[in-house]
Amino acid sequence: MVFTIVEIPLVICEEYRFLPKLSIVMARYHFLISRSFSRLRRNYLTAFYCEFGESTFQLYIRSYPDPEGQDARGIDGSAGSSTRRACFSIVLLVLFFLSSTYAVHAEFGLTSSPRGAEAYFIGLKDQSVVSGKIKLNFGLKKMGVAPAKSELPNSGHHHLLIDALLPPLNRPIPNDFNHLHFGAGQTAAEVELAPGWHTLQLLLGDKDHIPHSPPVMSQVIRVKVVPQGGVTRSAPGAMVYFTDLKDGDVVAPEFKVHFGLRGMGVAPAKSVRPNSGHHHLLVDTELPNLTKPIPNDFNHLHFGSGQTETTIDLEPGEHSLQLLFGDKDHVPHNPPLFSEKIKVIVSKPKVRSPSPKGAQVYFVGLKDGATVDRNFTVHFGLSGMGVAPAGIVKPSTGHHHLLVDTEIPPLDRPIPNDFQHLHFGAGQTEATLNLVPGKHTLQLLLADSEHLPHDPPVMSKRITIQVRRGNR
Amino acid sequence: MNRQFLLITSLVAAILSTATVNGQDRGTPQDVASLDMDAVPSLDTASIRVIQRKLLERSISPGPIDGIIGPRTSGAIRSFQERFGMKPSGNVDNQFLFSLGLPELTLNTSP
Repeated sequence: MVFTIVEIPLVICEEYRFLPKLSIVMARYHFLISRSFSRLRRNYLTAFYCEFGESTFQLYIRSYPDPEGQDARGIDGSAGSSTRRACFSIVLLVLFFLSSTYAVHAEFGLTSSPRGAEAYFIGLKDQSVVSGKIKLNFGLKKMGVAPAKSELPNSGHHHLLIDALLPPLNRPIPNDFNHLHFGAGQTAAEVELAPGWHTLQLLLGDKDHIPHSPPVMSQVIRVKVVPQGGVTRSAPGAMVYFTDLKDGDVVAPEFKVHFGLRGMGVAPAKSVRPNSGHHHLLVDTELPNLTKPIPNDFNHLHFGSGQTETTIDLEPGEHSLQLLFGDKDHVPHNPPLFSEKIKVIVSKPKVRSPSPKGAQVYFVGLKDGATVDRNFTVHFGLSGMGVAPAGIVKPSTGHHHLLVDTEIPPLDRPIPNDFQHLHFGAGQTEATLNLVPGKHTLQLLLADSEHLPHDPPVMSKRITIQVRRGNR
Repeated sequence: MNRQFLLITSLVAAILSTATVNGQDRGTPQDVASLDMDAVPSLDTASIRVIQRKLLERSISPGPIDGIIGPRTSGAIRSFQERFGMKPSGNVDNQFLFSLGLPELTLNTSP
């Protein structure tokens, strides 16, 4: 009986270290087979990718001239044999790769970790500011938690590194105050740290407390621990926060800030109501000493009357904002209540577009003091400039705004959009109004693509009209 | 007959591959725990390329995958070390290789 086997002389993957091993396996295999079966034919040509685990292996199978000039397919007489041979090679390789990944790590006494496995802190960000005792929750992706000594595959237990560098990854993780072991499979811990900056990192260890390969760990996070605060107790779970501002928000030079509070009440300074306090807004400053009254200056704004919102005016650029709750004496509570420190970007005031000299808007055919019907049409006239819809940036153009019964709005910001400030952003040059009978004032104001009046402003005279009763 | 052959060969392959798990085909350090983690092994370009690829997988760009430790690669190594609590030396030491899951590259560490 004659069998033809495929010789796999070279598996090329120059970067991979365990390839020598593959050749050895192949050599052994080759030897074994060729000894067991009487003849060996080498006549195969193919190349394919074999994707396994972390890497893509490119496999080349070389073609050799058949020593006896026979066609490969003819040897065992089966037309489908080459397909079968290819399948067989793949089975062999997959088996090999499966074993070799484990083999490499096993040789080093390490436990393999699955790809993408990661330990992390749940809900604790880098650069966080925390007070007193910190409750830490450990997260683990793509693996399971198992107590030390447990033989379960794809599992391990957490180790918390406090103010410590990553320990040597080739031996058990030390067990001391800087390397806390959670060998019972715990996934949460409460630690008390001295005030100041600390680093925290999670590192998973296998049953023998040795890190996996590659190690399953979190990134190092830095936390700032601040003192416990003053003497007034805060309610458990209470928090202060910005209700409508997020980190990274872009705001106008003058903007409103709303303060949120959960779990406690707002009371003016000096009021002795329990479970209450008042807000302080920290602008471009660090948290002050939490055991003393909050300073009162331009960086520490007090809202001692119990306000829950404010309008602040900041220079263009980046600013930091943080809320800090204080008791009746302006001392932070224990534990202190402060919001996340957020960054806001204050945008530059918009530059008003210039208007050409002599440009003017006017009402066509509507005189000051005129009497009109309830439904009447106003025509807008414009000379010296052109009309362009909102959003179209072109010099010496703009679109109409009709001010009804109102003064000129501030000229350095966009014209408000309401029933008294009618926008004609589509480039309209007339409008039909329906006003209640009586006296009304009308005024036209041209504005640029961003609804900002020009410089100097192009506006009409303010006229007064009388609207008739009835529609005649 | 062919089916039999396939069965036998797969079996042989399976035995062989498991055999190598425990085998001592290559010179592996007898005692991994005694390896000096600060030592810098000598690496060939292929190994450096593996390292560069691993860094890229972790979204830290080492520049082109060229098998050369240039300023961009050592910058990437440093930033990886910093991120994961190692001394930010920028050197490919044994600790760094273990942290990438490449313990086999530490074999060239001279004693």
